[in-house]
Amino acid sequence: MFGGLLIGLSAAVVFVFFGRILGISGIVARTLNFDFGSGLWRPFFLIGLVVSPAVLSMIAPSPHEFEPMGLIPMMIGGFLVGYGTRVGSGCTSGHGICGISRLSKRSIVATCTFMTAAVLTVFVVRHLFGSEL
Amino acid sequence: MTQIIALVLGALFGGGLYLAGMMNPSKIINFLDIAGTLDPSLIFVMGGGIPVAAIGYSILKKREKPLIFDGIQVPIHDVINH
Repeated sequence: MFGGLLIGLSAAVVFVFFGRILGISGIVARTLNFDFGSGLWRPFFLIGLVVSPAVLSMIAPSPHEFEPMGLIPMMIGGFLVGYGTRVGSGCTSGHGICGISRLSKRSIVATCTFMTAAVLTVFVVRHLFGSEL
Repeated sequence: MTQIIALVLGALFGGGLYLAGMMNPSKIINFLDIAGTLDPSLIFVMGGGIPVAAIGYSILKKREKPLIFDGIQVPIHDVINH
């Protein structure tokens, strides 16, 4: 819950200060395309995003266990998420947090779609194929 | 200044993900496993984030202009495609 409040606060301040949507997939996409139309806030946001958990894990161990996954499944998963968020114009932060907070119809549909797809995938992999994943 | 604010906001977001346990792939999978090890705690991450983001958006709409940039760039079309 506290983590969610921090994420929401970050999105709220981006709305008020920048007038932009805080969508991680869009920020990553624009940064990788060297699209710095409205200044360098996006790459700097990403630096903070990556550095802060790394620093936190050194000074305050996570209250949650971390069980690493294989590199190959992570890469395949990352590729699919990256591609899917481009097709769907957003990810959990852009649609799920920013879009729903604006009561955007297409964000609500997008969030329901990707959450349903994810639940079905886990169901098929874990319960139909019996994977221990 | 914009860059420093963005850096801090990124750190805030990353800290939120970290504290919520969202860097742990198995926690995400357990959240999605409604027929098995359902771990509903992540719904509170979205439940906590959306109202706070909504307050920010309502402030932006009232001000009609962001504090730093000149214009608002928020999608205005709400058509469902793809």
